Amino acid sequence: MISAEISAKSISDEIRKSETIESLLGRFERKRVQKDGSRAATIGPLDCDIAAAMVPEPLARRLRAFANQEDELTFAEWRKQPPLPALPKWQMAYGGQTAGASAMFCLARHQQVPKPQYRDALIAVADEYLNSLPEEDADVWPMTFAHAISTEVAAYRFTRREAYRAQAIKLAQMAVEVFWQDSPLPRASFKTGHYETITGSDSLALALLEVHAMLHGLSVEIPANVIDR
Amino acid sequence: MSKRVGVKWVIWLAVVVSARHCGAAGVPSSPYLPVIYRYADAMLQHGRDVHGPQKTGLFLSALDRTALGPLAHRPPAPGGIREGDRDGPASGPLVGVNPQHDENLLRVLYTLSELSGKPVYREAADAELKWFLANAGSPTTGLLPWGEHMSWNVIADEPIPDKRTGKDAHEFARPWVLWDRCFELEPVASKRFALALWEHQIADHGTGAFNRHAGYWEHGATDGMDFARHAGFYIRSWAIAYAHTGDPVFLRAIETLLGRYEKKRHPGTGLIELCSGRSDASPLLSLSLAIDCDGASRRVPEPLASHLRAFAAREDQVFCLLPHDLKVNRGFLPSLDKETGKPADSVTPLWDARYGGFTTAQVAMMCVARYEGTGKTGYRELIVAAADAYLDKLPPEDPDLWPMTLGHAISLQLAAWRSTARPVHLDQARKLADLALQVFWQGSALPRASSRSKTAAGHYESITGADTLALAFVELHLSILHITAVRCPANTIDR
Repeated sequence: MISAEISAKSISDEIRKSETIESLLGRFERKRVQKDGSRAATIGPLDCDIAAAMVPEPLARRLRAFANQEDELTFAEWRKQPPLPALPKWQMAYGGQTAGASAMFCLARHQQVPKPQYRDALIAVADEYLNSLPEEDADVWPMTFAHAISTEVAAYRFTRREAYRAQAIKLAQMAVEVFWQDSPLPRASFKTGHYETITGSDSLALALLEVHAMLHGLSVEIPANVIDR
Repeated sequence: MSKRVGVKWVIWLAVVVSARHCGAAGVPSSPYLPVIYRYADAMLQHGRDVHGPQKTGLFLSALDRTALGPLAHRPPAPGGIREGDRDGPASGPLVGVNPQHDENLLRVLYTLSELSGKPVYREAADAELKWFLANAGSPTTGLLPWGEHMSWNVIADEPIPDKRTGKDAHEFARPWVLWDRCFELEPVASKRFALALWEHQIADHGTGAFNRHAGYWEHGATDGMDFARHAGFYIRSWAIAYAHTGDPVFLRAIETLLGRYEKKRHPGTGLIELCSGRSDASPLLSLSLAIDCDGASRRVPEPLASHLRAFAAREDQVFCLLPHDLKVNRGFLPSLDKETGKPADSVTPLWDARYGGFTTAQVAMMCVARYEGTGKTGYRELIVAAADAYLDKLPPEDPDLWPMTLGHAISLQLAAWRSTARPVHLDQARKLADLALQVFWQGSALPRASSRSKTAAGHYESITGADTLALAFVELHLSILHITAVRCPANTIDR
């Protein structure tokens, strides 16, 4: 949200921009404080970290500090509650979240700041998707497969464990069979027959590229599958 | 007609059509869900067991639609239903409870709680599962008095035996897809039943030989009528039991039965005998087994999971390559010679439901169960061809139409609509649902058992699938309003 705002404004608007960001940041710093006085993560660290690279000090420092605070609050939450693997693995809906999508958040943040908690959380999710296939009768989206595949690929890159690589390939093959069938366009979900990008066939295409690059040892950099959030 | 008049006519028609299909704010209208809420509310208020010494709260499987209470008499059986399969004692009123006949009603109740946010429906369904599991199991075998031949007498508070033989006979009527909820509510009793299936339904733990009928009061497992669909029901039950308990006995049970059916598959035709010693094969029963194998594969570890999926995939190949005759005779092949693959001279009927038979839409819903998760285009072609067979057709008057039959026809049209995006399928689903409202509900809260119920008002009797029709109505409502936040359970368990 914040990074998008920055890129939308011109340099000459910098002062006004800084005030806007500060205003939003202040709002979410206040929102962190819960009714019982405890603190909770709000908008997450990703966009604040990106924005920090585009604005002058001291706002950049404040954005980075905000992002680090979000990390700490997220880790504290993980220590209290069941971590990411407790999320549904395959059934996605508007406003919902799957374990794979959360793993992609972890990957994105780990690419910004290599905190081991994010790597470990992603690997834990990758373990959940090992030997896992969609539940019977679930209306699975291409995006959900995409995140599961990209999670396995990322876990393989972190650990070099063959099981993650094998599962990424298995899920990719299944995704091609189930979504593409006999058409050049993938269907929108298990329970539909038409093409509709809202369910993330674009993310699945990206995940398949990742698998292709992994299989063939290509050095070309595939964009990280981390923008479905 | 002049061009101007023609344009006016088109505009008028558009207004009429949109008025019929849209509510005040442009939201498509759906009269179907209110009917199901009334059905559910009537069942909650008037259809539960408050009779006999024990007030169990179980849902009666037959009711008087006028008095909204237990039947005081025994109405004639709907067409295609054997007298001995009805939920009640051999003579006298139908005062039985059979959760397998009400399985889709329970699934509808869970869905209504999700849709409405009101917990009463879920609580009522939970109460039925809890009481039945905790109290109705045989103290000797652990099997339950439900399914094809047994039920629970709410007046005498005792199991009702098989009415034809007077003996006890445990036999599944449908796959039980509520095991996860059962294990959450009554883990001990649920495990006991799953073990009982192995100990008291399977006669030979080496070969997996069984008979679909087993003793309820005493051990009575024999070798005989080992239909593939029943094997699937057991495999599904054991897989979920394993997922909840981790007891390896359930894996052994699955491996044993799976091995039995792999051996039964003919090496040339790929067909599986109807039951031991028969020369004919029923691909419909084998397809049902494939659905359960695939479902079970998601709940057990490797390599058994892959083994189960491979079995299902082989069945897909066999089934989709059969010369089903949907375009001309509008039916699937129910029977073939196992050795030669030569079809018998019959196809499934569109509307004529009966004990032991399948309608075309019923089989097509099995194809839906295999298609949506696998994407196999052979099934898609069969689904669309079957749905086309029901387009522009309404049932004739002669067969005694069951609610279940229209339920499958509606859900089939919706599956074809999801797959092809052709509006004609959604329109036909609406037409069939409107017909169902007219034929079965007739202004009452409860649907009648069949279109030609002999009593003046007709009676309610869930054996003919009022629950499946209710599920189809919920599915249609969600489809019309494009609601995806709540998922409708798949209407694929009548097999």
